[in-house]
Amino acid sequence: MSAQALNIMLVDLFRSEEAFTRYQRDPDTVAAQYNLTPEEQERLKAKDMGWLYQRGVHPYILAQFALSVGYDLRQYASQLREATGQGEVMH
Amino acid sequence: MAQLVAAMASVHVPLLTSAPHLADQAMWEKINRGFATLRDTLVSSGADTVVVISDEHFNALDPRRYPSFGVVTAEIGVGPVENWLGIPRNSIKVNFEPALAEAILSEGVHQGFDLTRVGEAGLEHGFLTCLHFLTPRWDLSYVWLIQNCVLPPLPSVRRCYEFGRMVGTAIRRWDSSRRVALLGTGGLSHAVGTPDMGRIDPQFDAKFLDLLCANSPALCNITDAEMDAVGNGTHEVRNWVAVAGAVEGTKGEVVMYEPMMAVGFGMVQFQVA
Repeated sequence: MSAQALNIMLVDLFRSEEAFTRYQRDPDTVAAQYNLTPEEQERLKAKDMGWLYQRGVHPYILAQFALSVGYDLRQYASQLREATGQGEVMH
Repeated sequence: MAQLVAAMASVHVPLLTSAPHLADQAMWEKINRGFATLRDTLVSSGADTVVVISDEHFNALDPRRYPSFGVVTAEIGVGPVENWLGIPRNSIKVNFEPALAEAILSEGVHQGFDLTRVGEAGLEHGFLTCLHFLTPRWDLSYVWLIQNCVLPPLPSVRRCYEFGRMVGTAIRRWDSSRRVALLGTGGLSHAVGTPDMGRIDPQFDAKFLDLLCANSPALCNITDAEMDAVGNGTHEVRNWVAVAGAVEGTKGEVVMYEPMMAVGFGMVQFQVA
């Protein structure tokens, strides 16, 4: 499936505490509702931000998902830089 | 008729409430002075309604349905939608001004803008952050206008200027005794969610602020490529451009500018009589 499925799922998760709790309890069932591929499901469960970014998830959506699950932005940016070899240190 | 009594723009950096420790004391002094200046302008203008022009970061709108230009027409707004903003979720309730929202919608469609009616929309940092500092008691009425700065294809900068011009006209034609302030939020140069987060381009910001404050026609020539080159979040300067359009012919002044908190952190106000 396209990154759009991930975009839609992540938006649903960071908007709704209830949806996020449901996902935490049973990630595979929730992910199946969005037709994620097995790899997308696994990378999402691992919160592999670098992979998700390279997969094409919208950066605004990915960053807000990261924040909503307690990431520090520096930690998030660091994962992206590591995965892509791009970027610079945050001011 | 209603009067447009103030026009200003500011960054809407969510870190101000979600991670205030990222600014040191000296930075906070600059930030607080900037917001105090805008707040003084707002208070002395006697504004009773604030029209916010901002983008929306997928907290209310959807990646499948995102208009180029939208107007929130609900009577009440509740937020923040975000659980990470440092403000308790859904703890803020504001009164919208649906009559003005509808007046802008009508004027927009009449002028050829395919402006989309957005009914209810949960409030998020694009709308909330600046107002948290400017009207902390949330005691005015508000209108929220949304410009797409986040999901390409984006409306051109020129179109956003024209949109702002239409909004200014709609406010001045609104059959009401209200005193209306305009607030554009977002920008300046910054990157959101990409590996170059933290990147700031003070040169771009200086050029942009010069053109904006001169309310120069050249403002409309800023391209997507120029903004892409200095960070995806920079596209939010469209919200400042719209404010300039609403007060076409009026000069602005930089209230503050400092590259900090991962953004070209700036505020401006226009010399509205």
